[in-house]
Amino acid sequence: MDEIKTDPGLQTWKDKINFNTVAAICLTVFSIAAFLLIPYQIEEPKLFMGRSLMYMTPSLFPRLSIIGLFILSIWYLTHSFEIKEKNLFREIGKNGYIRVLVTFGVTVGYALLFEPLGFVLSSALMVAILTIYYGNRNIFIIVLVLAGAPLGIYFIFTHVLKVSLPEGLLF
Amino acid sequence: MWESFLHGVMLSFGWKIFAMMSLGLLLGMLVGALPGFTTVMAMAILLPISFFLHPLIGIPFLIGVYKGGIYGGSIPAILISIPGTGASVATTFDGPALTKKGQGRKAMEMALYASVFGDFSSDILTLLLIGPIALIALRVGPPELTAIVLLSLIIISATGSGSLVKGLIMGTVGLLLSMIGQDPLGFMQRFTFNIFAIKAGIPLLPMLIGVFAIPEILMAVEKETASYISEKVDLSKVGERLRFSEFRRCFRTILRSTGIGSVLGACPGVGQVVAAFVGYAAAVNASDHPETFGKGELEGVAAAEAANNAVNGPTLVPLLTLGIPGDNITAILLGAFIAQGLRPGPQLFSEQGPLIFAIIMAMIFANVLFLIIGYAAIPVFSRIITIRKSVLLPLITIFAFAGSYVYRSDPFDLIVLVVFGGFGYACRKLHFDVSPMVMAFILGPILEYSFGQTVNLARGDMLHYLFVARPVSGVLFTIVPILSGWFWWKTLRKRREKSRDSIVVKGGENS
Repeated sequence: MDEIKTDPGLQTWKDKINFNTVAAICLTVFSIAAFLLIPYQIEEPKLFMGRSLMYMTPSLFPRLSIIGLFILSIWYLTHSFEIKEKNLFREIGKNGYIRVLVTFGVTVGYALLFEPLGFVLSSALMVAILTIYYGNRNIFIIVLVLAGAPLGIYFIFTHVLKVSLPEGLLF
Repeated sequence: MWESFLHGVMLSFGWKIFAMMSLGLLLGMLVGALPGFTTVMAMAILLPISFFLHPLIGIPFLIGVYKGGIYGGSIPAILISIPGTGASVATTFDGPALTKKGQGRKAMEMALYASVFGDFSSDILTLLLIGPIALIALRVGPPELTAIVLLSLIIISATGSGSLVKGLIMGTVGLLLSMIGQDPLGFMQRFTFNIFAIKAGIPLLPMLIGVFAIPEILMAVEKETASYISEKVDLSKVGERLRFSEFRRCFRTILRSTGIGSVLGACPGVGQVVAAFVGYAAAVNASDHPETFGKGELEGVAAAEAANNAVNGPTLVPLLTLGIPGDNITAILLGAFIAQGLRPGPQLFSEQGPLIFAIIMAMIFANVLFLIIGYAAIPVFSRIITIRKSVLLPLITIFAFAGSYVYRSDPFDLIVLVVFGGFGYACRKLHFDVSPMVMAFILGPILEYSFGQTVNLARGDMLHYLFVARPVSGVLFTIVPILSGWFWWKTLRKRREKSRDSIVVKGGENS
């Protein structure tokens, strides 16, 4: 039974489905949804004496691109069964996933707190969380990076490049 | 043109330009020497620094990062067989073997001299060619520009890493993303979902920093290692310096690779990685002793490094003359130009000729700084590869966020940064190349605008206008389907060969 399954010629369609097939289906659905959205999401120019003053409507390019995406998605779908690519998400491992998700979560939090807390405080907070999470246990280096990096970059941007960064609670 | 050139030469002499170029070279080499980080990422996070400097200081600063980054990648490639950047993959064929023989220092110096020579020669070539090409580019009208942009997009999508269909899909996604906001002809709202922040479109700079910098941070944290390498680099064992006779022996190879890199650099979508591989393969083919390659041959290092750095100059030709970026690095440079209020293309040459020549002259002078800084910094950068992730990654994150924010001071840009960062990471994991998407995002409005102008100028008789009134555009438009068909045929042939091979293997197994 196992021998039959490993022979590519005798694989059932279920065995042939891979992440590329799923991505192709998602793209096909997306292109159909985007096409249906066109009348609601693209303004048409006002008519003058019953005629448009423009040779090309604003919806022409989106229409062509979405049709192109639909055709490519179908091609991708049919081709997906033959593409031999590894889904690299599967090679990360549980700990790796957690580290990626924590890092991404911290960057999302950093983006949301950037203005309310200000650049220096939000950056120091982000640096503290990440540097300790990545295994830095040297207090001297932690303090140096935590205080030095945000203050140094703040100084470069605001005093050397003369641009503003959010001051927030501290600056 | 001649007056512009002379004015440009005068402009290029300034201590601030040299100081910022030196800083750029130093930073580029630093990031390039770090395994896991690319030159593109270095440019993306340092891009915002250039916004607030004069274009003549900011752009050479980025060019310094670019040149330094491509060379910096060779240091870990030679010492520990981990390429610092994609461009130095071919350097790992011979570099580590030389280090094992106790000739690491020779290899690093050969990489430096070959890189500087390749870069310098290609910059001179760029200077000589850019004027005449710009004059031709001035004759390019909307129909020709439409066809050129279309051809560039097809080439970039088809020659990227991964499958053809995935490249084309990413290109189309980029086009669709570029359509969010106002249309370039009538300024009508498209796909904004009444969200005020995207009424003017998706901001380019946070998107660039997002897709190029954030995925590298996320990829770096996947493995629970303190630094990028586990080995300790013993610099006392890197051996003696390169002798002039050894450099002279490799000179023909360096010249050949410089030619290859210069030609490939002018082609959209090819880039340093391909140039390095082609340069290396050509050196093996031309050698009297090909069996020594891969076992610690100095010529192998010289071939790869001269070719990848020779791409740097000519890759700017399509950007500066037509406004078409050929790769990710020139896309970031285009972002820097746009942020400065300059739009590369035929008009830029007639309006800002001296500035363009000054930038090219600065590129040529940068090679002298490149040689000095590179030579002095080899021992320092050799140690940098052991830097800890726990210090480096938070610093890069701060730079990426600060850089994305300062351009418009809009917190929405940080959301764009994070969203495109996550998207870029998923794309890498699923083998989708983001380069066609970025290129299409940048070129989309140009394509649509020039196509709209073409439709207006054609006054309803498109075929007559394209093929009779503008015969050059007719030829270019004829190439579009031929080229697409050729890429398609190539994919089909590759697929057939693969299936034939698998049948042969199966047959062999059965017998």
